[in-house]
Amino acid sequence: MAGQTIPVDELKELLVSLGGWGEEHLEHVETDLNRANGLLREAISMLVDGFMAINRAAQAQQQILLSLSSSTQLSQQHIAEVAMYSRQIESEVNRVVTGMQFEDMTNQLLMRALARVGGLKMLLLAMADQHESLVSGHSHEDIAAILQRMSESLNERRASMHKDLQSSVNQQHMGAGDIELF
Amino acid sequence: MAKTILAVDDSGSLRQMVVFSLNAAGYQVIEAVDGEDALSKAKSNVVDLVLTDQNMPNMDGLTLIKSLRSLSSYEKVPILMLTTESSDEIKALGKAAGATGWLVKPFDPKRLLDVVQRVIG
Repeated sequence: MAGQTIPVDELKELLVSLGGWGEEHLEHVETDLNRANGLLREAISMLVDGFMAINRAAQAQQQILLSLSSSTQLSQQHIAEVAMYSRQIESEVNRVVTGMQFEDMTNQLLMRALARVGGLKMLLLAMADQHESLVSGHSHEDIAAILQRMSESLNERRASMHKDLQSSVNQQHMGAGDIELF
Repeated sequence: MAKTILAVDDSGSLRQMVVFSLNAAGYQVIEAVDGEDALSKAKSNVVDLVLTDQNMPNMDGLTLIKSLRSLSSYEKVPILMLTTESSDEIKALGKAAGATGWLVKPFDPKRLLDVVQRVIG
């Protein structure tokens, strides 16, 4: 290494570019994730309201049909059909209730992705900030020490992010989860 | 008299699905938005079953279970976890904290009601 000059200016430029470029893209990712989360929240609110209203109407309709079946001359076939539709509605309601839990999970996944984006932005900023420490004329030892500090700072932040984001949503489908009684 | 269930989850839509399912089966439901809210409501109400999420702001499910189990009135009240978490490690922590059972989200209303009936009749 003796006699070689360290390209400090190029190294500084690389750090600044990497920080700036990374931050710009991560901000777009952050915006899109927040937008997706907002749309999902609004969608689930509309779905839940609609589901509750449909369910109330279906129950009221069912009550009317039940009272009609006991007070009028409904054929056995019609009574059987009413019972069949009733069972079908119940089964579909269960399916919808299971499916509508998607927002709880997608929200957790999006929040986790946002936290990771935030952590990555901090990492890039911390790395870009270190360019101030680099000055032309620094010795190899000085540069090595600065790079070592950068590396340590990155490792600390990585460990902290890992600790904060340990729990996870592992579901890959909307099938009902396992049940265990202790 | 209808039995009372304390449903704890920070997700509004999930709570609505839990309340809908339990109300349809004749249970009375008290809602709480996190562990802290649940602890406060548990102290001021008589509850037959607690159904709680794990990951919530302010106080998580495991801390809630430990806090409830330290109260004499909640020593024997069944507490079910309803969470996205499914690892054996966290289930073991739940069991050690005093959870009665573990349900992984999403729940099927019929299966949820079967479990609720088994633990509180």
